[in-house]
Amino acid sequence: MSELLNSLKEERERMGLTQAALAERVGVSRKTINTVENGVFIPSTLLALKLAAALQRPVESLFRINE
Amino acid sequence: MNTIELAERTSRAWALMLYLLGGILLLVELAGMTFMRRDFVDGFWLGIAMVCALTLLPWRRWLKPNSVLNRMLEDEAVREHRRMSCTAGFWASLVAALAVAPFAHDALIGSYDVARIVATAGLFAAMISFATLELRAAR
Repeated sequence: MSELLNSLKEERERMGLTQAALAERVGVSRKTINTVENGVFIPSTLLALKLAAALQRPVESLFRINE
Repeated sequence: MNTIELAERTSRAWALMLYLLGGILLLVELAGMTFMRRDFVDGFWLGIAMVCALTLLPWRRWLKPNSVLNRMLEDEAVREHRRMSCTAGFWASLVAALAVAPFAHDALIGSYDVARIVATAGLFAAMISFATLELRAAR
């Protein structure tokens, strides 16, 4: 079964952002960032693109499929 | 306090309120079916049940869709939690309905009690799972 992996935490920390700061940039709550980072919640395409833009990375470097 | 912190605090308070309301709903239901079978308790249960049902609706988004705080309180993760908890509520209602059906068939339980059991099971499961998902996500 395919699994969505992400490097959101690493990229966020690379930019020196807290979960709250990233949440504010993207316009969602901190718990949304937390659940995405932990792989509990799979974000929509819109949110994934917003996260990529906020972290100045292409979306495919943030999310990948583990098969 | 910025919007993120305010959203977090409001969300936590809301989840705790759901636990409290769920507990009250269950207690009133149990009391109404056992030792306090009175009109006042019946009416109180109906009022609490309606309030509980309202807590599961995204009324914040309906009332003030452009508010930044409301958008955070109704973001993607919250909508997903609401979907999951309403599904849990649906299954709890179904299980409760199937469990009491034999008793209702043999007229051991009245139709009003059956309706209350099914509604209480659904609301309680939905509210508790919603609050739990919200608090777990905020950890």
